[in-house]
Amino acid sequence: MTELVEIQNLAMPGLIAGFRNSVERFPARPALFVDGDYLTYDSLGKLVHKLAATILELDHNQNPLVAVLAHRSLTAYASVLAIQSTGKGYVPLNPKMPVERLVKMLRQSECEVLTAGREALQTLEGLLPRVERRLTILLPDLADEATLSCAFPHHRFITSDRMSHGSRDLAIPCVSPDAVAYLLFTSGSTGEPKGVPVSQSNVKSYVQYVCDKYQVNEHDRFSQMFDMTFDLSVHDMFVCWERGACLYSVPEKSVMAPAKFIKDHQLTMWFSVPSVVGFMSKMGMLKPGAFSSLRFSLFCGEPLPAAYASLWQEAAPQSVIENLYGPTETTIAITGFRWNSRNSPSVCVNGIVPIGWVFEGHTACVIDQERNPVSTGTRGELSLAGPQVTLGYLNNPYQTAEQFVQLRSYGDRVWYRTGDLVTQDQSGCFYYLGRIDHQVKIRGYRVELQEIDFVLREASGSLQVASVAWPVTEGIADGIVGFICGGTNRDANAILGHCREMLPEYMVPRQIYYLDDIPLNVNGKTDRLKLIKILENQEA
Amino acid sequence: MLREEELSGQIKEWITRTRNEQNLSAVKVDVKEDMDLIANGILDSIGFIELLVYVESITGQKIDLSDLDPDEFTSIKGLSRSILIHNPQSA
Repeated sequence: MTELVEIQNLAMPGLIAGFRNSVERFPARPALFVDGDYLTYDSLGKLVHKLAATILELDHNQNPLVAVLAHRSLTAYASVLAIQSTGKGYVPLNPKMPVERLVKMLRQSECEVLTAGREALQTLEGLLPRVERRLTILLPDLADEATLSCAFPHHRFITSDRMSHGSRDLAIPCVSPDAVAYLLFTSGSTGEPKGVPVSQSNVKSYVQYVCDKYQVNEHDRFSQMFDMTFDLSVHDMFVCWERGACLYSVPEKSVMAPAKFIKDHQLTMWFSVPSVVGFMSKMGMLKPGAFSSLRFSLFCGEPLPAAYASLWQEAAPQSVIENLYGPTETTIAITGFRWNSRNSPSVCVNGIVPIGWVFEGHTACVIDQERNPVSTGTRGELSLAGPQVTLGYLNNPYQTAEQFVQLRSYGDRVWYRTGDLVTQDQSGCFYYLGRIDHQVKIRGYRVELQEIDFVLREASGSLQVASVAWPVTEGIADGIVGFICGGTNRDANAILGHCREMLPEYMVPRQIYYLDDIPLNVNGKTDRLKLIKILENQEA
Repeated sequence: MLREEELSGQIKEWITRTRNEQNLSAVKVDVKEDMDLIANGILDSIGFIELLVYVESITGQKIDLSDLDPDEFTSIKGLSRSILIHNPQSA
């Protein structure tokens, strides 16, 4: 009995409570703009209710996770909300990703229910023959499942006509703080994507803090630039809906060139990776005063060059600019630096904006290789503790023990070692200097170069391969190039073809070079710096 | 004094050349002038930026696509037209 009481005390209203409150408070206000249409909180709420009731009726095994195979569509957003309404966690699967990778994610997550949008049907047809476990697939955009049921009799399909009528009243779910809110996958060095479960209490802590920090209100209009497989999309959706604001899903074609979209919809809250600023600048889209509707502009996912912050400030003169920083393992973002055109340029290191101060309620420290704290001003690895720090990787005790550690002199508190090299100044401000390993960022996506090497080895049959991030503009990597040496009888086309089957688009090398030998450093490891020198010399 | 057809021709030539350099030639695509270069996977976002840098180098003008929907400038024809209309100095 005591145990039961304790569990009840711990349980809390799920992340969905924010959206549900907004449905109550602002039924007639717009909640979502997607594919050219607006949905009010009331109409989106009704659709979500219907989907959630269907999921609950279907799921007899009480599996805690449901997958979403959809992309920038009403079904994508409604599915995420519906899954949250059932108290379960969602696993976003991007239909643009290679089937091979989607199969691995589905297998690891052990999902049995999946929702799919119209835009993902082709991917779904490629995926289903590869999944042994019987899946139940919700297809809200389809009226008839006969063709799919015939083609894949092993799986079960629920189309719009067979969904629940949603008459049942659905209370806001009470969830355990540790229940998974979403499961994302990041690049792993072994060729297997690494699952990061993020809990309800992790996300709620973030959403509450950020809503207050930026005084989000029902008149705000949020950009939605990030793919759902990227955790910054969780900010877009849940910070927006928590306070009754409207989310503007940026169409695929405008993601690279969103200037007109920002102006047409008079967005007030901007959130993107810094690379987008570079693209827009090249296209002549950052005219002074162009984005005067913006109240806040947030950048995250990769280093923010000071030059980009200045350009953006001119284009969005009324906007406060913040550089946010945070690995997936510490939930969306956990430090921030507010840009000031007058004072900030002089504090940038290597032309990169500082990542700033850790969010309230969290602790950060800089450690050396022996995991001892270093003195102020000394470089070391950034480690983080607090309510946004997740509990570890999915079914991966080895990696969890490596990255989630206890530090001497800090008791039994668990710290996440970020792998990011930083220094901290007297005021507590952190400066990003690079990585301690071979992780790079491509348009904000985390990429372990070893994972690309692994696929290059498979593809070429050569053991001597390497990849590097190249070219680099303003301290941000644009893409990947691969090096292969030793005898391989496979040409670059075949090798790249294999890479495209195995890796997401941003990890596929843009070019393959053949070398006689891979340069090694004094420790006998691939000397990636020397490879970059080769590329630099070639360009010069 | 570039005309739209000339610019289109040069852009097409650049795309073919770069695709060859990037070992993409095996993926045979007949690049049509009104085909969306990005949606059809002919150029990725970085490739498109590289194309703009090239176009700037031949027109000698800074590119300005600020008031356009991407639909209007992501094909060879659309890009040539957008550049010549919005940057009349290069025409």
